[in-house]
Amino acid sequence: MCNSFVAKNFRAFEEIKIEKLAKVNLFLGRNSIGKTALLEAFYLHLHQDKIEAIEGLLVKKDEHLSHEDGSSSIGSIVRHLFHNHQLSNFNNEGIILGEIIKQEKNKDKLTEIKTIIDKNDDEILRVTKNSISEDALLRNDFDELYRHRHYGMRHRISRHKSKPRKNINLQFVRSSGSGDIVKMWDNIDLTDKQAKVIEALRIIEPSLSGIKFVEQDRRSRGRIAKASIDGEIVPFKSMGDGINRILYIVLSMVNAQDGYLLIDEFENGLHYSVQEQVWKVIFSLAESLNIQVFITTHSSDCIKAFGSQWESNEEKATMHRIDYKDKRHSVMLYDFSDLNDALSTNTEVR
Amino acid sequence: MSSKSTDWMKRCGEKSVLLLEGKSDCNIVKKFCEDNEINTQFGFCNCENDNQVLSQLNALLQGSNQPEIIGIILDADNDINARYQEIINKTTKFYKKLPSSILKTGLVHTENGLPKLGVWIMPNNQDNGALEKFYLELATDIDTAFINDVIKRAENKKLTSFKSQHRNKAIMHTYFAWQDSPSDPLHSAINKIALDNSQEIATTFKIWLVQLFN
Repeated sequence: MCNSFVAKNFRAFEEIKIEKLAKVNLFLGRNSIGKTALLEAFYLHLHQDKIEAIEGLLVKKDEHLSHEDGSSSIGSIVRHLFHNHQLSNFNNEGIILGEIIKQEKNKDKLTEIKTIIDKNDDEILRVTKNSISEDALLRNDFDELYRHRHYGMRHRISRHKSKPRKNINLQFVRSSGSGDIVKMWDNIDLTDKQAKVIEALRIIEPSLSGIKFVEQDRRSRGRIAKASIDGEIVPFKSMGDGINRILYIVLSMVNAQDGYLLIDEFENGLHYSVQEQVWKVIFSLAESLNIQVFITTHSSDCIKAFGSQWESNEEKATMHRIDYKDKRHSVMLYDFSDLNDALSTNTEVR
Repeated sequence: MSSKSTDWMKRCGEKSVLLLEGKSDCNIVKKFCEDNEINTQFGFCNCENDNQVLSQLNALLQGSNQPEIIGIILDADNDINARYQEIINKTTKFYKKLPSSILKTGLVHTENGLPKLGVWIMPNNQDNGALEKFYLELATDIDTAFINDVIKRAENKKLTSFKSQHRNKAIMHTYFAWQDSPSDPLHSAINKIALDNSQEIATTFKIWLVQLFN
């Protein structure tokens, strides 16, 4: 579990520091203040495969597409992850992500992404965590980021042997879309987690009795999700945004056991009347499946609904507002009593 | 939205804001400002009760639209020191340098990057009591001793049920009940009473308001 977090030189942040985190963490803030960037920072830091994570973040935002000047080198694309879209200077401090460290000896627990000039005078992007570095030539084509890595550029810079990698579950629920729900459903086949998903879906559709992923007709490929409601089989896509959002959120969550779940813009598609129950599911699964959850919102309904569950789980959650003042990011930590004061006096927290 | 006659005491989102415990408090302070020609370029915020004043104070400090100046007026009630301590406790996350006890002249406090904070504890930052005590000091036409005697007689006959800390409130409203007309709302009743603003307490309060908001 992350008990604190710092992100430096990443996306919108020159630096942002969060001193306290709990099992369930809600982040507020106005538009384009950096809420999504903060989730991306968590994603990048917590992901086991940094190169895959970097590629994923950039591709998701179309930042990998060639620029007007036709350049699509790793350097010209990865720069978007850096503060002000500019790669850090060679050998200077680059992007730093991780828990706030008190002792220098814990420095290797941080994720660092920087540019260096290596002994062959090559310009390199170096990604380091836990004393393992992965290098890529900045001039190479972005598409080769993967291939490049498999050519054995990865090397260890520490003399210590690294511990064998434990696979840590990490799920990122985007503000829209539905992720790879088929794969996530198959992952929990024959476990009681499927029942948990169905239970959550009944928040919106009480008569839903089961889910099935069925092959489509020949015109399209892959399987689609269908629900059984009062004996009728109905495609999920026809059932409205709310139930599809819950399917995406809860499927992601049961796939994140002993790991981490990130949810961007929790409230999307969810009517305020169901948000309280969805929070209840999140608090309960976070506990029973041991998942640390990071969620963003800019909806006051969402904050109110979160508050209703926070009340009985005070130690298990935090709420922060991300602020940007005098060209610096800061966070305002809310305790439950602070949120209570704001709600009872109708004072804006967002 | 229709505007109600009490909308002026709901301006809690202003850049300069004065938090008060109730409607009477708002009316009395507003009249005081008018009588003394104090510029009321701040929002009156009726918080309904003392706890909500403290909640509102915290919510404004935490909130995304932090004001530039916050004044609060609270009653000391039965323990002025405990009241001041409550304020310190509520703001401890923000203000680190508040004096450990309140001055006779009220508090006007500035600390780097934070809203200017004003605290006045009724009646006079020294004694226990409430706003009504402050008001009765200035309303020299009201014979409080006489009215108090009448109330005592009612008490002896077990006709009363008010809490001891509300004695001055009872005196004030008893007086108003005897005027024309007895059912006048407070804001029009108080407008008929002349206040003696040359009293020391009035001068001190005026200086506090001006120092805080101007």
